[in-house]
Amino acid sequence: MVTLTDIERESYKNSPIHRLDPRIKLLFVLAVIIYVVSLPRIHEKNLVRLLAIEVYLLLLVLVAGLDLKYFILRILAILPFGLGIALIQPFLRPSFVENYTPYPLDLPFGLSITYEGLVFGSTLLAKFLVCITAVILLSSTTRLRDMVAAADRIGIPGEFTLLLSMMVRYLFLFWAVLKRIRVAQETRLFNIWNRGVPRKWILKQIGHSVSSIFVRSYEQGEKTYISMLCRGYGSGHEKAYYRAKIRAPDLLFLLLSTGIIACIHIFV
Amino acid sequence: MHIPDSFIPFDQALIYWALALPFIIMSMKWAKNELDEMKVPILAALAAGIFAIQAMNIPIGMGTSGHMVGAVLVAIVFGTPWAGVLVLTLVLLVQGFAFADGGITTMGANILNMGVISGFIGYYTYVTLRKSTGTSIAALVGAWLGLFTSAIACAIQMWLAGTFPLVPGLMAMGTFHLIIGFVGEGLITSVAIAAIAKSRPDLLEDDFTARPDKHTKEAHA
Repeated sequence: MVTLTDIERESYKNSPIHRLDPRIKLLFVLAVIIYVVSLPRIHEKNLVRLLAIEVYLLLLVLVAGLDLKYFILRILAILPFGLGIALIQPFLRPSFVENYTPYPLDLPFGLSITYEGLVFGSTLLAKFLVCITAVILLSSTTRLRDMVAAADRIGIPGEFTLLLSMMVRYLFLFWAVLKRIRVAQETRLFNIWNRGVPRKWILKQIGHSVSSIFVRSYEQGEKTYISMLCRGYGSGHEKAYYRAKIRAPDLLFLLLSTGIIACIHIFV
Repeated sequence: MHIPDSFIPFDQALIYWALALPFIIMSMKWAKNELDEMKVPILAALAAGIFAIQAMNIPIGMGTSGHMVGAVLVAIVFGTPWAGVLVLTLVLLVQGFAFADGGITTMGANILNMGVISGFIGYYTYVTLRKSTGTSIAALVGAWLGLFTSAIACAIQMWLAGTFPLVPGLMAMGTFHLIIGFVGEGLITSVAIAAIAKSRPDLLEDDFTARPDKHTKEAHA
């Protein structure tokens, strides 16, 4: 399992990719995702183009010096959500296709697959894979708070980024609280699949854990708010961030990446 | 129920973003006006808590487990669906950008389903029911219905996107979330609300204590 702390460990590494300005990385990932999503849904060049982008993203992963096992685990953790829907596509008849051609393949149970469904399903899976690779690359090379700072500089309203930055700070705290609750439950041999105790009781225990995390996070918010007031927090608060200049390597990376995507689109 | 990137075409995804954005802005406005602006930080810590709550496995039966969404829980505690919208927006943003769980282009649709639809339907179901059935059953039905309608909305969006046919989609998402929603969202929300009412009744907008003469704790702070 990949946990929050693994993500933090990877994003605190030091590499040319990690050192890029978070705004540039955010922009790059958004551009990749928008390009990939807006590719036509059925097109003979889709798979080659998507493969080329995936290769480029994996090259960036290598440059960033990320732990490959960790990276693959993270992709695998997300994959099942979309995999099922993509795999079922060949058996469906895409509603946006007028004429479909059945694939000459005999299957038991009267199932049939269509050529369009197959193409659409494989494109869907490839697009999905490229998108999650891009996001995981972003989150493994950019610290969460830097991402929030980047959002602030891009022009997301300050009140919203204030909320986000505080949330990111407490994410780890409540992850730890959850872990402690789990350990405490394990020491008491609490197991959600235990058939020896009534289900109702199990659900009650889980409900109590939920309310416990809820109340704790609420109280943490209150405490933080009071200490913020003590330190002079008001509506005219200012946030200070370090290094805000986009430098030459950042621009170079952006140019290189847009160039590569354009080349992939034109020449492939 | 997190729709990933590329499962909704870009133009449709933009429409869902455009639909979700006013709700996000309104929820920010609510936080600033109703929560007397300064209390806004509480929501940030709460969003982190909900993030952890969503990671808790709840046994549904027959070997499957689900997890809570939590929009209705937050909405009931704060006494307004806007709280649910804001907290879920924060949670989905972090899930989308940090975990690749749920897409970036489809985040508008996800916020619409899990924050707006689930929060509003769930909360107002709860409000209509609480007088006749009592708070815990109202919370159960509200959370259940909120989750169910958001699953239905998700199935319809997937159909409009041309990714999944309507009837099988409705059947699969509907029955699955009907079962998951009862245990995972409904029962747990109801138990959690009752537990919060016992430990910190001052947090709740509504009075959940059965006996009105029961002494209520002073809000410390």
